Amino acid sequence: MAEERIPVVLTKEKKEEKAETQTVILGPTTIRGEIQGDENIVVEGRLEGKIELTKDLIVKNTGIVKAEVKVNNAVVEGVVVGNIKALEKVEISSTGRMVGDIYSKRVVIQEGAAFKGKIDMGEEMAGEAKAIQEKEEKLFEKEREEIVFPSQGTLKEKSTKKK
Amino acid sequence: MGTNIGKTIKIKGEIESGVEVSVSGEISGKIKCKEGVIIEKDGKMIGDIETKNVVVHGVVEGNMVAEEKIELKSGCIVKGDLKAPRLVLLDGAKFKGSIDMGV
Repeated sequence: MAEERIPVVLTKEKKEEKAETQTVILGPTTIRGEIQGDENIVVEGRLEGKIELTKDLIVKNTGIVKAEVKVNNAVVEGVVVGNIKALEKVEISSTGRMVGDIYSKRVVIQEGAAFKGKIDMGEEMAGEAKAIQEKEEKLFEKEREEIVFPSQGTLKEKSTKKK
Repeated sequence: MGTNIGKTIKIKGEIESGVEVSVSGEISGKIKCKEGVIIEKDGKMIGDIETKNVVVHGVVEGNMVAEEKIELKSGCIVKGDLKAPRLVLLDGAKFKGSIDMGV
């Protein structure tokens, strides 16, 4: 009986996941303006303006995006003109063409892709990493001091006791 | 399957389409569509709609012009002027505005 129940629960969860809406902008559709949202947008048509998403933007082969883009992940299989800021990753696939700047920790440009613009993979992050390293080094030094001096003290104490 | 605007999406601006557009999110601006426009239950449209067919389950504040037909389903809230040769207003639909059926 228990074995039968488990798959039922799993299928329910899967159905709920599938029920999440996904925004699709098809070929003959043009949207101009500001777009905000918390779900993936698949663009097979045309988007112009500003896009801010907490999830992913996927620009398909036929898709054209002329916009300032702020997303979690961006996949460019079509055309993008404008800057992309991604929290995680930007990927320009072999059919992708992009003109604009990319600000993202991880950037992938596949063979065959066309790209013109700057890529910034986060100097600020590098700065933070340096700061963290320096902090760690300081901590190590402190630890070394703490380790070295008491041990010397104990040695001296021991030596005095021996005398 | 036409263009779909999801629940969490907010758009300020214009939409122009040659395929059916269904809206579950929030749009303030304009929709121009050669086929149909469906404002779903969770959908909210502030602005004008110009299309062939309109079906409203959700909220529309603005004028609608349809070449063929406008359907206001039960549960919908519509404020604005409607113009279409055929119009259906179902029981439970809330509507404020004028209707022009070209008579």
